[in-house]
Amino acid sequence: MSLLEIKNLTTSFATEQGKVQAVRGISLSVEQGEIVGIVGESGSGKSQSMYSVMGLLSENGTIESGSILFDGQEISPVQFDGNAAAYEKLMEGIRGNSMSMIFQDPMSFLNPVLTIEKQLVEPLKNHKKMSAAELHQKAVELLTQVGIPSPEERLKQYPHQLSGGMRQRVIIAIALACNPKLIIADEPTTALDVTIQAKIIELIKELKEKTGSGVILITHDLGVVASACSRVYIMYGGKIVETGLADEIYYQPQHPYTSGLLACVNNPEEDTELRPIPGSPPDLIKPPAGCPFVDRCDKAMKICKMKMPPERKLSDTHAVCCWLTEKPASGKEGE
Amino acid sequence: MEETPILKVEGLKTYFPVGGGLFGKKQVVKAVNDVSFEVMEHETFGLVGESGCGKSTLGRTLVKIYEPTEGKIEFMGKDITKLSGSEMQDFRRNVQMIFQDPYASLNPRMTVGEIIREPMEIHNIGTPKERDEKVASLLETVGLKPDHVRRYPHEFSGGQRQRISIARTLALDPKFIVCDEPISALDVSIQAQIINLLERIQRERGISYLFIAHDLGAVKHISNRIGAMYLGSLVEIGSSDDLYHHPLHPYTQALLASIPIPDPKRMRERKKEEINGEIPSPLDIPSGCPFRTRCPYATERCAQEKPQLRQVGNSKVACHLYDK
Repeated sequence: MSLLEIKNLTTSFATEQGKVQAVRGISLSVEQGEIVGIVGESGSGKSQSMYSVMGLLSENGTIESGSILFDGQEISPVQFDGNAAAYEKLMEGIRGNSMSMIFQDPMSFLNPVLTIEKQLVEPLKNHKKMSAAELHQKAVELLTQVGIPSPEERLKQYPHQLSGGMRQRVIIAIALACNPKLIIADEPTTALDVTIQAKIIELIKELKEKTGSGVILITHDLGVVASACSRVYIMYGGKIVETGLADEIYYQPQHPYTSGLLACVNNPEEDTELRPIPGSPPDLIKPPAGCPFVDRCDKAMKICKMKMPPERKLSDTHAVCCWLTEKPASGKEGE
Repeated sequence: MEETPILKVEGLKTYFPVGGGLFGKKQVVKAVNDVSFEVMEHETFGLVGESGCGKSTLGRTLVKIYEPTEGKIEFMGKDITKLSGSEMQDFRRNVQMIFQDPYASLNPRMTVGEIIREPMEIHNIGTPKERDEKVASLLETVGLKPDHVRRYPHEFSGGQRQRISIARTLALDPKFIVCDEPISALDVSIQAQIINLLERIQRERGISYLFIAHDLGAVKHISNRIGAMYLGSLVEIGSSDDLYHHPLHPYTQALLASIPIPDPKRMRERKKEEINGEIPSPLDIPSGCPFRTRCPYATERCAQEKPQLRQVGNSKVACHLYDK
């Protein structure tokens, strides 16, 4: 049984301009002890799909359909049939406890008027019965675990007294507090400098080894994914267009969007010409009937505009949604 | 590449006073601390470094948004710190800037046409008809449609907005453009579009760029030469190939070793990072070499004496390790 299994998740947002269909029927799974990357550009639905899982959508967001199986338990609000109170109660027990999140911007996530210790023990107070002494002991342990020197002093400090990298470590420590089974990291290194970024990625990998948690890494940075993830989902226009082991995605990309994305990333070790993807992502108020990438794809065919391609399995791990792979004779794309 | 420098910077310092209120202690942020380099005609000079290293302050000092505290900036042979009124106007026309955030750098109440026309109006260039023609041709240059002229910035995506701000920069036919992180607010697939556009404009118009970014991959791609900055000092200058393939300064080496490369096999082979700690506060720059607190090779001498940029092979580096 997978740690997390999402089936046909659809999430939309009511806006003044109309209904934005941010997540359009995605299915994915995460196993224990693996780091899975969800890659996409802004507006691809990568963050909102995970906020749906955590039950952290903004007021105007609704999960329209789909099932979310976490550790054998169904946690999609759809299954609660309008009983919002029961859903909230369930999620309160899960959030920050068996499932936790690392956010992008450490400064806006931490409360500026509370000490590090207060913020660190908050999830423990909510979910575990521990004495004050135990809480303090655990707080020290957590800071040590994420590599913060002199934890006793740091616990008394406020967020502004810490550097950006330190703050991100504190956030990771908070996420780890209750030994979660699943950690969702939403662009955890985007706000950080490269030298710090490398360290935080190392830390996430080490912690995964130690705790055996499953990790979902949401990012737009293919370099970060290459350094951390064993499996990858590529999202575009609210859909998962390709998934596979990291090696399959990087060395045998099948979807034109995936290969396009790889071709326009700067690899400083190779002097290849940058091939940008022309155009811009689709408007999800009126999402295209067919493949979301059709307007930017140089291999688009008639059928691409009309019908969304079905998922095609290429191996046990590799799957793609593209009409090109449906034609067995001339269906080879990329290298 | 031409050999005449269009911009010559010598011993430039930009300091900002902070604190000094009723109870505060007066302190100085040495954002740019004794920097010297040249940008040649038709060249792209890349500037890399982590946040807080002073790269943006340096860029802004060069276009005179900030006044330098000390030092000389020569643009086309003239010291820009001592320009007369009309010379200053010329300077403003020849030197332009592209900003990082295309959501903040365009006036939301002006149409695209007005935004691009404004520099020409300020500098009194051309008749209204000529200005309209120029706006139309600039829109075409940056890959926007003629009917976009009457639209407002909020109707455009980030990449398109950055195209609008590039068109505005080009309105005065500048010779030198400071690009301050022009792609870091954009999506990956859009970044490459903007980089290619900037490269094409340079080929067609022979403009020189100072390209500031923290994304070393992008800088490597667009630049002829690159300078690495750390805590207000340039620690290494070299051709983009030399800098990437044979980095000399321990900081440049560490920076390069930290970039995640979109190649899982290479990332698995990569050795673990050996750079220590984090960047110190610019209020309290270490004595001697600014990098010594994080440098794995630091010696006593590094604490006492600040290394100067000197020629080593094809590059220039400020590090005592290369002292013979």
